[in-house]
Order: sequence, then structure tokens, then C-alpha cells
Amino acid sequence: MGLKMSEGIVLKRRVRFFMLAVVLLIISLIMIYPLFWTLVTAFKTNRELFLDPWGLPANPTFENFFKALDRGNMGTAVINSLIVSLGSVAIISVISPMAAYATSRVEFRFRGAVTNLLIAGFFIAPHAVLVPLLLLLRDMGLVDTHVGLILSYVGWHLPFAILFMKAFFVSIPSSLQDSARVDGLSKYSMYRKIMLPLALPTILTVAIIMFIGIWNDFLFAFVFLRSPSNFTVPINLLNFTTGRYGNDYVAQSAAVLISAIPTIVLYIVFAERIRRGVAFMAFGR
Amino acid sequence: MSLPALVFVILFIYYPLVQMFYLSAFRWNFVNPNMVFVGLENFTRMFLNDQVYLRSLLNVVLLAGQSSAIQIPIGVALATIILRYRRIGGLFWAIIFLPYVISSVAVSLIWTWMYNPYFGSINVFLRAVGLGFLARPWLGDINTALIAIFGTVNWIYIGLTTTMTIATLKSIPPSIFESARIDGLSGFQEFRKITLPLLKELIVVLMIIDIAGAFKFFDLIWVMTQGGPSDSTHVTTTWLYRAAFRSSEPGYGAAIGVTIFIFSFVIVQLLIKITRSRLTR
Repeated sequence: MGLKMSEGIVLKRRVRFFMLAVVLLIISLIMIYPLFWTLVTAFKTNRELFLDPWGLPANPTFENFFKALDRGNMGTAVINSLIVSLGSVAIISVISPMAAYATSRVEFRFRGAVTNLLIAGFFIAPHAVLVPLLLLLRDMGLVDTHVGLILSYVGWHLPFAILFMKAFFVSIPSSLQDSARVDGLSKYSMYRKIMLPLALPTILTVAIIMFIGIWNDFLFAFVFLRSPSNFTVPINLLNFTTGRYGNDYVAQSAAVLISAIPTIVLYIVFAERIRRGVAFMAFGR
Repeated sequence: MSLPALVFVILFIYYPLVQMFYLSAFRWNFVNPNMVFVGLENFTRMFLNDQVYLRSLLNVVLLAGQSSAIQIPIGVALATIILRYRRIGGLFWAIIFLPYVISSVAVSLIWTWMYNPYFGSINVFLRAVGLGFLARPWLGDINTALIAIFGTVNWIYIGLTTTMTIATLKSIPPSIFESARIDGLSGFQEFRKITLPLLKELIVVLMIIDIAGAFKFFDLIWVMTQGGPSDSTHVTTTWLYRAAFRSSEPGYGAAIGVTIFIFSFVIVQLLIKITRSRLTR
């Protein structure tokens, strides 16, 4: 009797596990399918796409990718995006740990107000200020330039970067700071010699998340850039699908894949770091 | 040491923010430098005469509401499953988070193709299973455009919600779950009696993120429908863009910006205060 009951429980557990696996499989398919479809389509011809949307390419070639890079301007856009993203990330990586360290571990007047000012921007939607921001760039002569775009990205990404770095600096035991002070280090050399080396892994996490965010950003590039030769990847992607090649869906599929490769590679390499950093947004607030 | 950062945020966040309030009281265009002071006229026009603006506000509410109603329960369920079955859970987690790292423009294009009336997979599928009468241009049909966009939104953000939930659950000491298992609680009982109460705070946070996120929503709608058909899918940000940069009414655009700022910032601050006092009580 007792044996039968435990057999029943085992069976019930197996059935439940099987049903769960089926549900997870279906959700995974829904998540993967659109990306997989785009991958297959990028190797087809437009004729094949319309005749048989689910068919495989008869003669798969990289022609669509070359077309996207060349006539679709994606080659230039990738270089522009690398300049803008890496430039912004470099500035953020230098400035944000300094500010985070100062507002967490150094006593100075108006520290509370400065901290609030640095972080509150995280709650503001940049979309709201598009008009005055464009006027500001115009007054600075930076409309349609990479410099203008980089400076805007730095300004609007700093609050999250600082918030994230602060969580790290606060967690460093103060005994470390005290012993360094006994050794007679100034606050600058303490930062450079002790805090900065300790913070490097956290800076790397911030840099990766910022890179992905700026590489993918559409809004600022869309409003501030004018000439296709300056376009970053997302705005160029949209331009490619609405312009002369608006019906060339297979070449557009290739362009979409090109745009996604850098961030997907980063995600594969740094998945854990990225998810941890992004999850922080829930608690940072 | 915080000076460089301070210069950046003041110049690029707070200076434009203050100027936005000033600009919202004028009427002009980018070419003609003559600014006409109109007081609060932009705001009265917005709330009394601008049907599309009011519709865009409704869409923001719908977006935030459906995001909370769909993503939070599914996200919490998936997070519990991933943590319970670590081995297949890890791979599954990696898959559902993937859309979040791809640019919103790329995702919007992919889903525009999924919804395409001719080669879109959804219509192809419907025709294949004999439901061809349901096939339609999903994004071009006024009855389905908004729902189609919501589908894509959930596809992107379900991984994010799940990830935030997992991070919260991981911060709970595992001994609680162990003792629950010793007490003989089933998976569902364990979820209802332990996980859910601990998640209450997170659920509030996720709802706040959904509200703030709905006011920051732009890319997907601009790429997929540009607010159409018949202006039925506009959100406040896309309507701001249209007014300021397409109809060349930057003063009106700034005024819409003021309302976005007040709604998102102030409402979120208020919600945080309310929930904080309730949570600490």
C-alpha cells in the first residue's frame, strides 16, 4: 500500500516535470523563432521569400550581407556606432567611478545635494527634453556631429553608471580606507592607488551595459543626426528599410543581423555580468 | 572629484529640463526666430482640443497596464521554475533574456516582418492551419495594431522581468526553502506561502518600472506604425516627436515634454513614497 502511494507520487512528479518541460520548450521556440526566421531569410532571395516564406534558400550566399554593408551603408554605420559607443563608454568609465567614490567615501559640503543631482536624472525621460536638448546642441554647433551625440550619451548615462558604482564603493570596508589614511595617502592617491584597482571589475560591468545601451540607442541619433554618412547603426537600419531598398527584405534581414552581432557576442561572453547589472535597475530605484 | 560628472548632468539633463518649462509657453518654429508668448495655451490645447494627445495618454496607460498584468505573473512563474530546475533553467534563462540585448529598431523590424500580410509568419501559420480568415495586416488594421505592438513588447521584456525576479529570489536565504521542504510543502504551497509574500515589494517596483517605461516608450512604435493607422497607436513620446519635429511646433512639443516629465517623474516619486511608507509600516 505504502509502496503504491510512493510510486504514484513519483509518476505524478514525472508527469508534472514533463508538462513543465513542454511549456518551457514552447516559450523558448516563441523567443527564438523570429530571430531564426531572420537568419534564414538573410540567405534567401526576395523571390524565394514571397513564394515560400518558410522555405530554405536554394543557393545560400552572403550576397545580402555585402549589399547591406555596401549599398545599405551598414559598413559606415558600424564604424560610426563603434566611434560613438566606445567614445561615450570611455568617458563614462573615467568619470563615473570618480563621482561615485567621492559621493560615497569623501566628506564634503553639500554632499547630499550633489549625490541627488547626479542620480535623479535616472528617473527623467530624455524624450521629454528633446526640443531644448536639440537647441542646446545647435547653440554649441554640435548638431549632426558624433561629438554632440557622445556628450549627450555621457550626460544621460552617467546617473545609472554612478548609481551602480556607488553600490560597490559603499560595500568596501571602511577599515581599508582608514589604514590608507594612516599611511598618509591623499584622497586622490587613495582613489588612484587603492579604490580604482578594486573597482575595475565593476567598471567593466558598467562599461559593457553602457556599450550595449548606446550601441542600440535610436532616439538621440534619430533626432540629432542628419547626414547618412554620420548615421549610427539603429537609425541607418531604419533608413535602409524606408529608403530606396524598402522592398529588399532579404538584404534588410542581413542588415538586422549585422546590427545585432556585437551585442549578442557580448551577451554570450558576459551573460552573467550583463544580467546582474540589468537586474540592479530594479533595486537601484 | 564629482565635478566632471556634475558638469555633464547639469548641462545635458537639468539645463534642458528647466528650459523645457520656459519653451512650453511659446509658439514658434525652428526656422523663424520670433517666439510668440502664449502662456498656457499649449496646455489648454493639449487637454481640451488634441484628441490624439488624449488617445496617446490612454495608450500609455494601456501599455503600462498590460505590461504589469502579463509580464509580472509570467515573469514570476518563470523565475520560480528556473531556480527550481537549475540545469535546464540556466539555458532557458539565457534564451528568454536574449531579445533585450538586441536593439529595439532591429526587434521592431523583425516583428514588422512577422506581422507582414504577405510573407509574415503569423499569417502563413494561420493559413496553414485553416484559419486563413483571421489573416490580416496586423499593424495596418486599426483593431489589431496596438495589440500586435503589445505582443512584441512582452516578447522583449519578459526576460528582463524574469531576471529581476530571479535576482530578488536569490537574495532570499535558501534555508527558508529548505525548511519548507522539510515541512513537506508542495511546490505550489511553497510558492504561495513563501515566495509570493517576499515578492510583494518587487512586484510594486516592477509596476513602477512599467509605468515609467511606458512614458519612455518610443522606438518600437515609431518603427512599427509611426503612430498609425489613423493615429491610433501614438504614445506621448511619438506624438511629441511628430509635433516638434514633423509639424515644426517645438513649443507644443516642449509642452508635451512637460506633461511627460510631470506624469512619469512625479507619479513615480509619489508611488515610491506611498509604497515605502506602506512597506515599512
